[in-house]
Amino acid sequence: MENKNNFDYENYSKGVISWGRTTLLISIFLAFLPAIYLAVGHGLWPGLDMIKKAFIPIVAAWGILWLIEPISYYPILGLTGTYVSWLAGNILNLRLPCSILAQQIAGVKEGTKEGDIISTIGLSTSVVVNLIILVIFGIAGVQILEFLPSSLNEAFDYVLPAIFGAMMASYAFRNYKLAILALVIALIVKLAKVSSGLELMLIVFPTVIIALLLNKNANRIKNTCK
Amino acid sequence: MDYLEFANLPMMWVVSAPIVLIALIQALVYLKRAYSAALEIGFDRDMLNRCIRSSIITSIGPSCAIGVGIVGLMKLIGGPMAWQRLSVIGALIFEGPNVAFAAEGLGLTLHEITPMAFAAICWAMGLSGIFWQLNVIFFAPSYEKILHKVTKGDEKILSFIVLSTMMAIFSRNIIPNFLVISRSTFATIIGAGVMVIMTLLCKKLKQDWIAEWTLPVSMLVGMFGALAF
Repeated sequence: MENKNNFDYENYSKGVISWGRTTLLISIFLAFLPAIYLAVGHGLWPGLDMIKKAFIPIVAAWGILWLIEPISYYPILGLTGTYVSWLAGNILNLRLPCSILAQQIAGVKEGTKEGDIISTIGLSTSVVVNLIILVIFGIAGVQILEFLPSSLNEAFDYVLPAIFGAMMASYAFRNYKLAILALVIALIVKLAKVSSGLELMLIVFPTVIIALLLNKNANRIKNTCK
Repeated sequence: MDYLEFANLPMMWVVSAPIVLIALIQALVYLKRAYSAALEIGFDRDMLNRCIRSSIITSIGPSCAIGVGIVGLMKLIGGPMAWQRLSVIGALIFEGPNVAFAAEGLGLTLHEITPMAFAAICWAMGLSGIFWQLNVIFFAPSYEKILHKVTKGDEKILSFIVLSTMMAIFSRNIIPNFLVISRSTFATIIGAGVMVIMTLLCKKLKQDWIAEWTLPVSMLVGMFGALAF
């Protein structure tokens, strides 16, 4: 689809970037409103030390992803899509399908400027719909929890184990060798009984590095056998 | 006061809303601009409306699935935070574990969380989302250039790193459940089992919509199934 009317992409792009930066910047501050409210309204200021302690395991766990994920999804999401998706979240399960579908319907090529514009239409729509539905669930959820018989309350202790088991199984489908490698490394480190922060590093880095090395070797072997 | 009472205060809903609102406003502005741009380029209005319609339909299923995740998370961090974190940046696979990690960092089990600890967790969870965003704010316009330099054409490397990191994190939390047998062990096994069954179903029956429900259903069956042991 050619640019029939000499549309000014340069200008459009600039608008995309400035709006994206503005909204993301604002959202960074808004993320802390609940915490600020608890401190100001109820005297619950935990102090920097406690916050650090609570936050460090999280950095150790996901820090690498914070660096790598945005650029990894960029080829698929496009520039506008990047700004939309990293505010609204839920990229793999929701934004991607909507982006791809819209581009298919319009018959545009992914990665082009037209693709970006069409993808934006798909993505933004999904944000609006998603947020409306989640408001409903937010309100309904509280009601559901109130009516739940107390004997079932204990089930919520097992939300996380269930999620971890499910996610591990799901990823194992994509690469079962990697899953086994990760589990073995985790087992070894866990048996070694080191401190929590160190433990995360000791599990994540070796897994990633060994995986990359094995992957490279696998590819090299495949190539030489051709 | 139990920390959940703080977590569920009416004002918590009020202060959790602005970030969700900004996501909504951002999307609406982008939608309007993109729509106008598309018309200007020469795209057909009917076709654009079809894009919007199909996006609406495609979003319903996954949104409900996320909604179920919110209910699951509510018991841990209260309605407002669960709703806020899953509505905007952050998904169940990050936010759920984040609560556990934060509590761990404070030397507490999930049952020992005090109001003060909960406040610290709210700060930690806030911090956990912003680094993706800072990354995007500063570097998004340069991604194109950086991508070519770093991967030297091998785009798969980045997604591979992401995959291995996630597996490492999940393994770290799964292994303890097998070193000490408890209901958590069964929750893990059932969660994994249901995921396997549903994924196979999805592939065999070629019904894509099943994919979005795999996680919430696995979570529900796993958490309630564990009670049977």
